[in-house]
Amino acid sequence: MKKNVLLKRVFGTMLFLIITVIGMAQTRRISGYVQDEKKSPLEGATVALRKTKTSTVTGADGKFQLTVPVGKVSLAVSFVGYEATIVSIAEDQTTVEVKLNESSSRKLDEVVVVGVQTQSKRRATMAVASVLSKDIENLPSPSIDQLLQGRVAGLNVQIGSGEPGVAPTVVVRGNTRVNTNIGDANVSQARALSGPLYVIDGIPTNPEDIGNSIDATGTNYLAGININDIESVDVQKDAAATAAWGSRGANGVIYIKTKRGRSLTPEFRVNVYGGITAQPTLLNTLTGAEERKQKMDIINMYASPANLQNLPQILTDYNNPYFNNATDWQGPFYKQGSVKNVDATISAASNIVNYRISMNYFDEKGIIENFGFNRYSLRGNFDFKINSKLNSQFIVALSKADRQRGRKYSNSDENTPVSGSAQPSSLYRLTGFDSSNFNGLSGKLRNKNVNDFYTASLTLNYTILPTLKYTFQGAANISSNNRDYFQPSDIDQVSAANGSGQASYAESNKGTYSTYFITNSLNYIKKLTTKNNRVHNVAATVSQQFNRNISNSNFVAGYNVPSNNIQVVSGVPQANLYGSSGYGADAMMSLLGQVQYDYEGRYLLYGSYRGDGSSRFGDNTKWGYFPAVGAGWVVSEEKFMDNTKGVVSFLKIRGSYGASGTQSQDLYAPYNSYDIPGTYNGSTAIQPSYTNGLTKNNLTWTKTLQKNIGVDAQLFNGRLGITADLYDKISKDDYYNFQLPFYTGYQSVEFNAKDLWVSNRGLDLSITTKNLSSKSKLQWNSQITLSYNKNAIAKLPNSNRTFVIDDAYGTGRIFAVGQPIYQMFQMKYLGVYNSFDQIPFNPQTGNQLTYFKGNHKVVPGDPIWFDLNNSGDVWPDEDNGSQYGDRMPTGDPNPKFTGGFVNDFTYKNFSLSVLSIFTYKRDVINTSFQGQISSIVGGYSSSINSFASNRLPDLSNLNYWTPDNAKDPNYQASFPSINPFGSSYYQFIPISSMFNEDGSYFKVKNVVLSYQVPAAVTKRIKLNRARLYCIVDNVATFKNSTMPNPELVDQLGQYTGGLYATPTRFTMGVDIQF
Amino acid sequence: MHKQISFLKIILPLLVAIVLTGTSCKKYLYEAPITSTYGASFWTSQSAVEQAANAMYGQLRASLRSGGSFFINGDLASGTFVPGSDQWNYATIKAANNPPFNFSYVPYLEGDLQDWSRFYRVIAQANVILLNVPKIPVSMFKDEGVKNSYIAEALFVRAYTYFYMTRIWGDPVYVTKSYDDVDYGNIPPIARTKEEIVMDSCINDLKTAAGYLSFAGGDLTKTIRANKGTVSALMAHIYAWKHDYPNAHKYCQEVINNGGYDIEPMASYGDIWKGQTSNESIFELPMQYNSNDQQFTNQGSWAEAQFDFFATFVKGDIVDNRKNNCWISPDNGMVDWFFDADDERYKTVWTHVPASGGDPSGYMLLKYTSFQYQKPDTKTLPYINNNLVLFRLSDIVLLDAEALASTGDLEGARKALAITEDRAGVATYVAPNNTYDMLDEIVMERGRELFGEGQWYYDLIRTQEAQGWLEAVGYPSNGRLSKANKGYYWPLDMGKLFPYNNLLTQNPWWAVNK
Repeated sequence: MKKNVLLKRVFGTMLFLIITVIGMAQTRRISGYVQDEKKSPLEGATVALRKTKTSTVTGADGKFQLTVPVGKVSLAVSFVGYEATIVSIAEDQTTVEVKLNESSSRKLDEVVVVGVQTQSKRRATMAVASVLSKDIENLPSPSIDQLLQGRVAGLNVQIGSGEPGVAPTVVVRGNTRVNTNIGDANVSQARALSGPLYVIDGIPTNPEDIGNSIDATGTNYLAGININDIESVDVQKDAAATAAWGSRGANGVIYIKTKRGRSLTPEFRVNVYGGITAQPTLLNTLTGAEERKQKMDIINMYASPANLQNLPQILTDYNNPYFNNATDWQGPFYKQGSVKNVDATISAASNIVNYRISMNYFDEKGIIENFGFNRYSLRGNFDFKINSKLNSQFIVALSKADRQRGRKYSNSDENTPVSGSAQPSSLYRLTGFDSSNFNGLSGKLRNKNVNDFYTASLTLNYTILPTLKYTFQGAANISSNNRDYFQPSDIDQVSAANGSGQASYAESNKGTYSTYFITNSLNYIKKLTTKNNRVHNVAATVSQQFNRNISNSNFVAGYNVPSNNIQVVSGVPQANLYGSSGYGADAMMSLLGQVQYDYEGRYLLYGSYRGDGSSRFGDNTKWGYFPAVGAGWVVSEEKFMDNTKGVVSFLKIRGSYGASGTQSQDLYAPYNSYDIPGTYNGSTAIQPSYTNGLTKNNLTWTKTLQKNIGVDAQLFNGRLGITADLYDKISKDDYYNFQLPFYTGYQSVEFNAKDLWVSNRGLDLSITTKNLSSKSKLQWNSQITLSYNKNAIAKLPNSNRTFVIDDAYGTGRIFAVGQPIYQMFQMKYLGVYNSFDQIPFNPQTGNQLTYFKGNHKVVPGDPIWFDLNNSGDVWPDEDNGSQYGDRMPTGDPNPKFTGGFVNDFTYKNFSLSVLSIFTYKRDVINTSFQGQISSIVGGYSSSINSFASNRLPDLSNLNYWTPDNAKDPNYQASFPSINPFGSSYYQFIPISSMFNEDGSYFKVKNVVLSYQVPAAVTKRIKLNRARLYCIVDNVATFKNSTMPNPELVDQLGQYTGGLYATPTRFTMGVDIQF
Repeated sequence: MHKQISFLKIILPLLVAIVLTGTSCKKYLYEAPITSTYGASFWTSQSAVEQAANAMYGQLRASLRSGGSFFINGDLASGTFVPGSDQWNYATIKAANNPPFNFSYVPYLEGDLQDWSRFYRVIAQANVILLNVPKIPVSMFKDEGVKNSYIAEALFVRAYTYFYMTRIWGDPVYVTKSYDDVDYGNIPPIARTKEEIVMDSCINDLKTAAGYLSFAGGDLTKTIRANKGTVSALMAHIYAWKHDYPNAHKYCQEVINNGGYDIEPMASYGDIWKGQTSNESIFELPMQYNSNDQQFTNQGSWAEAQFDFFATFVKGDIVDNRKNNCWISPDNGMVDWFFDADDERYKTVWTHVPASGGDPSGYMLLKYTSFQYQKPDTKTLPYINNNLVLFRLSDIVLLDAEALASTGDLEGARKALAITEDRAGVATYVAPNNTYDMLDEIVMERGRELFGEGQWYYDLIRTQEAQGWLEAVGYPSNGRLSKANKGYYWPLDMGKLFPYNNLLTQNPWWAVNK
């Protein structure tokens, strides 16, 4: 029996060979070139011989070769997004040039992956927006998330820090997270907002989980992926799209697909760019004699003769070389940075194997000493066609990223040694110590932050029946991060000399996070044609998934390392030695069903149902279920629309409703954990954790219910495309840090808050236009994206109990129904009392208005603070009826409108792309200015000495109250008096809205000019293709606020002045194919 | 047919694979942490219960020590000392303040002085022990006695904590259960319980505890945990607080006769605070440096040895000049008023210092002076290596004197007084011949003996009705001290506590006076 089979095979093979040989004798080869309207080669177009269905795919140079029978033949040439065409080839013709016109509904033919199902945008009922590789390639950024800014409606990306390798905030359709730990600066810079789930080549990854488990370096997880390896990014926004991701999809899903081999002939491509980053704009500051003069002018306005006799030496002793300087302290911190990038790719596609292997080196040097990021990465995507029924994809990627972080230890640390608001007066001499502190000292530190990423994924597709396909995917994702930190002793030589020197400190902190992912899916696709030629399409998918994450970490640290030449933890005294290791594991098992149905491509229905069983949920509530439904009506397919085809080429109305969720961030939430607080008489003590010590058997996923109504339209032959979505999203049962009543003995517990509802409602609008006729040589296409989001707390626990939490910079935040999350809560600042007659009287006592619990009688030059409770005294914490004194909601850090404006121009071989982004209606706080003002006057510990020794902020544009000006009865000051001798009533601490500013901005984010070298030239230099490009990043920012860049704020809208700037960057590059 | 077979061939293994992965993966959905222990796995051994008990005592220590509140409440509020000159925000807790001893305005000290939350952690720890220990089989313990002793210790610590809180804030919110696996967003509020009722419940608990414990006097290692002597001492104090003097006398006698404690001779008087050194000590909290203590370096609430806590009383050479101000009992104050010059205690635990560092001239207390450095070579990481004594025999002897005097046994009271006065070498303070004078003398002798031990203020409250000492030390006679107003208790930080318990009420005096 076995022998028979073998014989059959051998015979069969021989027969095949013979036929092939015979066949060859009767064929000829033709070669050709496929290009688009702009004469750019089209890579990946299919060229098929109509008769035999043999086909090939064009290479990156647009070229193809095909074996065809002798005689006249016709070729069908097609490419996604272009109108297919048929060309006839004459008997003697051996070369052909084909031009494809861009299809009017190009974007509609793209496909997106939702859950485990592939859907065409034409027939999808969900809200998904895409960014393609051509939009983002070569932009000099270490991570993809930054490049999505302004390109996707409904996605709000804010780059609060330009520090290389740091993640921006990415929020899909409004923040749903109510974090009550915002008093911790690290939280406000990392975990205050709800971030999306990323799915990279089918593998779900939550960077936040990784950050929670292993966070040695704080480097952006996505920075491990080379931008130029990315083929497309789909942002999935509504419930129909996100419910398929179940208990992880509530905050949107970002699906990233990497590139595969396409070119028939093996090709080698090299792409190099490099550039410089300008020194950032420094804050205006007066130095030297000017600064002294400004300070003396202010002093002379207020000082008594006695005051003048006791001025600090720094102001009086201007012949002293120590106090006769003009140092702009910002100068030593900031310098010019640079960026360089090299990509090399080899790829090919054939009938049995496709491959693409890419290598990348990216290196960014920061604008502050010892800041930077570099990455080496290697990625291989392979497709194997094993037989007509079985094919397989294999992806392997490795990358290593090294991030330099100066002297930063934790993410919330200032970047510069002296914070923006605490800079000393310019009159101080920059000593050798200072310069070493600013320039060299971080060099003495060792601060090594290395992230490694490894991914391997294998997919098998087996066609069981023509209508039924089985898919297996197995993947492993391993991410590790290592920090080695060393700080020598007495780094601060001044305090060392004063006897309060600092011990040396060494730390080694390593963690590995591994994700394993297995899916088994069955996919059934059937096209049913009824007797009367009606077409029903059905696609049904069932899938089973298993996901397991394991994290391992270890940490060892010690003070008092014996020598500053030893930069590791070695020889540390026992009492100063700290070590710990960590382990965390969680798992999720899921079942997913998805059904798509359409009738004649006109009426669309979609339904999905997913069940997730997660180890992070409590025993009683382990399984969560997430249904979603969608429906669509392609109006333009209706008969009655036939007459309007010229105007409306495509019109679809769709709607969806469904549930998705998020998992607890705590891997072991159902288990109450116990702590080791210390010892009692030398014996170990163990107690339940006061913040997580209670059992949570009912802990479950959070629930987000979302309604979406959308319209997709292509008008005027595709010259105008509109996609608009209205959504209403309610997030319930979010994990909430319950402050427990004191008598329970526990501080807090993280639990689903049944009564915590957050509402996000809004509009996503995306308009694409072709502004010029397709016949025009100059092409100008535009895209406008606009996201409007209204964020509000809809319900609060404990019968909607309002509460206030101060953030890390002292600004109160109110959590109240109807208010947006993190709404600022301050005393309202309304200007300045210019004269005595403007000051009101206390209605009860008839006394003059007071501030600070009666301790300060208001005088001209004081700020006008709104007396909300009408008590005759204005102060935040007065316990006179109102728990919060005179504080009121004053500002919303959540932007109402965000969006982008893209303009692409092409003319002959040139193309120019300009991306602008904007944020409108957002309140931010200039804490930097507040800090400076309050450290010189009206702060916690300001005095004439701090007035003299701190840098004065730029007052030239500040109309602050002065006694002289006030003699004019019509005088209107816009800022209170700055009186270094006046009594401080804490007027400049962050309790009033005095420092709130309009955080809106419009920014020309980048301009890309590229030039396709003509084929004639490339041929001469033996290249297939060459492109030159130059890019200017962060071109210009238009804003209303006084700070240099209102985007550089933390997640709660605080501008500290210490965040890493995002200055203009210039890069040039060349992309060559051999 | 053929098609069907191949179809099955594919589908069957597939189904098997799916089912297999499904079942083998399921166990991962119930994975427990290995980085920390948790409730269900923790309460399974005697050593775990021991660790939980350690945590309970450690919490008690941390709570009493927090912000120096133990001495602020027990000593500063009685006017014995004036605060250090750097402690501007303690200035309201002085007789010289207007109004005097203004407990409602203590900037930045609200968390320690007006917020009792930390004591509920101690109570929660006791409650969690009382919830879980009975569920553990006896076989996990050495014997039933050991198991019961843990229950008794938890009952004692809970009673001690409620008693301590009551003496500061009056009626507590009384909780004897563990809040586990409840609806955390909707925990019902609880009103305060009358202190008389709470004290009765505590006595009931202590009676149970006494049955489970035995006396340990003479074994110095046992002074840091509850035993029958500790329990009896607490019962004596609670009965005295209730002015149930016959019962107070009974339990004082129990301690004196059966406890196994001795009065420390004057020559080694300082040993009382040295730490498990004196057989006079009934109950003390260890605050000694040990090299295993990882919390020492950060000097947080769990650090066993600290500097700041005891350093409140000392400055200058004693602490290697790390401080130049401290709490002083000023000239013409209570030290001059109460002590005879030949009182040995006056010579031993007080030293006269001139005005310095902004402090007035007066007397510095020398009970806690075991100053040391962890790193003597670099003079870094200082600490004061003394223990905090909560009950000692002299305290109980004098309490017995008070009980006797209050029940009319002046001779018995005189004999009891003589024990401490004789030791101090001054048997001749006064020879009171009426109850009022006798009680006055006892209050003063308690002061002489216990100043700087966080006790005397409560003595003044306890005897206020009969003796009126609070006015004598500077409290106003404007109704604040009346039985109805209870202005000797501290106010609660309602702004902080009320939102989480809207049945909570303010103490009467502070509800209207700010």
